[in-house]
Amino acid sequence: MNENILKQALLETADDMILKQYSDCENIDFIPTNSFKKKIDKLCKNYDKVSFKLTYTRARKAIVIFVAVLVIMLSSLTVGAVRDAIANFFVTHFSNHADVTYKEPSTKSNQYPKTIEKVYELKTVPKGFSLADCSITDASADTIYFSDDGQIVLQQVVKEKFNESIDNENSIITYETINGQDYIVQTSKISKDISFIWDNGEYVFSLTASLDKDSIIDICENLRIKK
Amino acid sequence: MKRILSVLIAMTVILSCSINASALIKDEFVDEEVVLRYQYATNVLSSISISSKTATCKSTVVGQSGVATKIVITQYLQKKSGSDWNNVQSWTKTFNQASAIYTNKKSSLSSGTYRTRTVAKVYSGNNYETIKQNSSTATC
Repeated sequence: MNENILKQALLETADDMILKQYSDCENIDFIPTNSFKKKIDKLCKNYDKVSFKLTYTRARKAIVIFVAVLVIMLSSLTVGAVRDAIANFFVTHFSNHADVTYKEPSTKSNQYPKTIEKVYELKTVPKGFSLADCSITDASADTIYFSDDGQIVLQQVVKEKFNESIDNENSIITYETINGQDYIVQTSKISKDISFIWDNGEYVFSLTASLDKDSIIDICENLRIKK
Repeated sequence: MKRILSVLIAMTVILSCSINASALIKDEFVDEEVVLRYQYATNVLSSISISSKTATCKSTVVGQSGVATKIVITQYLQKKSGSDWNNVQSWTKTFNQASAIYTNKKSSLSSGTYRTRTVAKVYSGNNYETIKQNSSTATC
């Protein structure tokens, strides 16, 4: 307890002594050193820089966001239709239809007929369907069969002439490989029709039928050359 | 704050790359505005072949079975002049069925580049839609 009282007395006495000695601060002769001056100058400059960054960054961020929005708007305006390369076809999608054209593989240039040299037909015409129309030109051979409530339309087209517009608004377009053959399949959402487009190596075929999918695949795989 | 802004900007850029730009319709038709609808039609194919100065034009229009009831096909044989296409001859026929094939010929052609243009009105009852489609080109 005596030690604590002594400590307290010393502390109080020491403060008083210091205050007495340095009470008149105006009389302190303070001359900053050159290094101190440099530090102060540096601090002042850095303070200015920080202030500038704070204001400039907000504006810069606003500009970046504006530019990003502008890029989005411009890209949506300038980019054309979406184009898929599927097997040997280009499928160019638009808002409510797609254009399907043939794409010649670079390894097989000009190795296909330039005209309709042989005509393909259905091996077996499904029950209830009868031939309604047929047209053969150098560019394509087309056949239509009708039944009481459906149709079969077979189009055989010279590859370089194939350019078909198909509905993609009321149809679902898928790309399928069935028994090793690539197909573009168009399934209607509003009728019984399903269309298959494929390349058999010689010609491009487009078959639309009001039949179940398996029956259509059977037709696709069993076309025969017309005698 | 910086991190949030960075994430927002990155998401914006990613979204801009994944936008499906299907809004534009490819304008292949030079003489009138394109109005393409596929409510009654399934697919349309135009073709042309030229042999011995005779052009054979074909239009095959496949309508939705059970939906399409009539097709009116107007077929144009067109010849290229500069960047324009001029009509050389046209034919029109009405088919009272869901799908149709329309073939026509034009002989004594002058040299040049030709194509078939198909304008099909596909009817469902009294309503119809107009489909337009061009063939690839052929040279005489």
